[in-house]
Amino acid sequence: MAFLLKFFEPMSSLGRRLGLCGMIGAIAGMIAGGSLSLIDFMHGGLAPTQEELLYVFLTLTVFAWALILFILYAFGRLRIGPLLLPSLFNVALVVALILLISDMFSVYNLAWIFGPVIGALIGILLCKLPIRIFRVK
Amino acid sequence: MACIDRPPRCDSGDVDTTPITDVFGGLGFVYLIITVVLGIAGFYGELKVAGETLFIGSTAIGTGVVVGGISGIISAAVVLYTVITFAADRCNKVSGSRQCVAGVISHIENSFSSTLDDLLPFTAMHDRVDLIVKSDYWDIVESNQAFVFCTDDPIPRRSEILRCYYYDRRVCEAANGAATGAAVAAVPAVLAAAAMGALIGCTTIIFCVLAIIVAALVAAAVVLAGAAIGGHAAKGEDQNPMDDDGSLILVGDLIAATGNMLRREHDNSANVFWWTEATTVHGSITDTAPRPFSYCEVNDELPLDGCMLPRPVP
Repeated sequence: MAFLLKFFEPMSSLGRRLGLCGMIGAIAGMIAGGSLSLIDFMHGGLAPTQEELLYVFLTLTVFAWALILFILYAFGRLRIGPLLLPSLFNVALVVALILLISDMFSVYNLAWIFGPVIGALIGILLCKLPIRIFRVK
Repeated sequence: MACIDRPPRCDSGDVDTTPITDVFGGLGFVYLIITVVLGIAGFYGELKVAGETLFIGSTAIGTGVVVGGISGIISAAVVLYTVITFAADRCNKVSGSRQCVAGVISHIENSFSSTLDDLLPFTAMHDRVDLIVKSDYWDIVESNQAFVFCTDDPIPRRSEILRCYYYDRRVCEAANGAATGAAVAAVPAVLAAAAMGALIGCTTIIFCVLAIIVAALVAAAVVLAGAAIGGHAAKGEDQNPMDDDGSLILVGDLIAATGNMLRREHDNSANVFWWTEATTVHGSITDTAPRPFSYCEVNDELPLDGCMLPRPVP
């Protein structure tokens, strides 16, 4: 079992460097970016309408947020009350930005790469802002 | 003796993110593997989509099945990895240094004491006794530049706390049982996820997003259910922390504890006893002692504690 876990260690150590905020952003980025790239591949190039974009934004945001809250509560044993709003803001911003960039430059096929990167950056930046509601700490 | 001039070296209680880091590690690794495999297959032209069918070489699969299957594989793998990580953490006896400390018990957190422990038995932790140690032992608690837990009292009554874990074989049995249950459930979980994907389909972007989400949820739920069933089946009888004579130890007891001390990431990298090997009860703190407890009274009430082990050089 210990041998198996060694494979995951590089990613875990990256997570330690990102901190809680960065990890939340990166997870949201993986979910949004991975989903968009997968759907883009299955459809041979995505060109969603405004309504579809809004639907995708809302669905992915709610899903990623719920998943992150579950991880924080069930596995992290953290009190999620103070984390509800900051994590929602973090996730919504990450998903919106990934959708915006993907749609603006028609790069849905690359969203799986830049999604987690943007997510981690947004997460880290939000926690550096001196505004309490944005800080997942 | 009472309170001393030297203040305790307390750290601020930042949240411990180690379990979340573990989940992130699993998710990141699986994400990377899946995307690299898909990327290579796509690059060499092995994957082609025509309408609602994906061709892998000459094999045709519905796009809904593929989307659901991939989502299910990621979800099941991450949950399985998380369960295995918990089992490894709970059951590994890491060697540290043998230490003896004495103080008063301020809090006892029994294993399987929360609803979450019943729902997800692999997340349960061994019985934990929070010990407010005598100031004589602060050097031990602070050694190795470890994080130091403290009481909330103002100085000079502020006291250092050492977390002493008592091995509970049920925790380990539940974690190992959960890992087995999750591993057994992983294949049906992915199949169920693929079936959900096929059912919902991937004809439009809206259905595709829905298929991904539902498949991920189904796979995670099946693996977690497997872990819960396996954990409950493997878990044995109840057992609380006891002293060397087999008596239950309680909050307010003055004890000397010997154990394997190490810095534990899951405890904010504080020094903890993992696990406590011997406990001697020297009575209880007097009823008139102020609450919350402080080392000041313990210094007075427990001048001779029986700890004979050499202390670390500060």
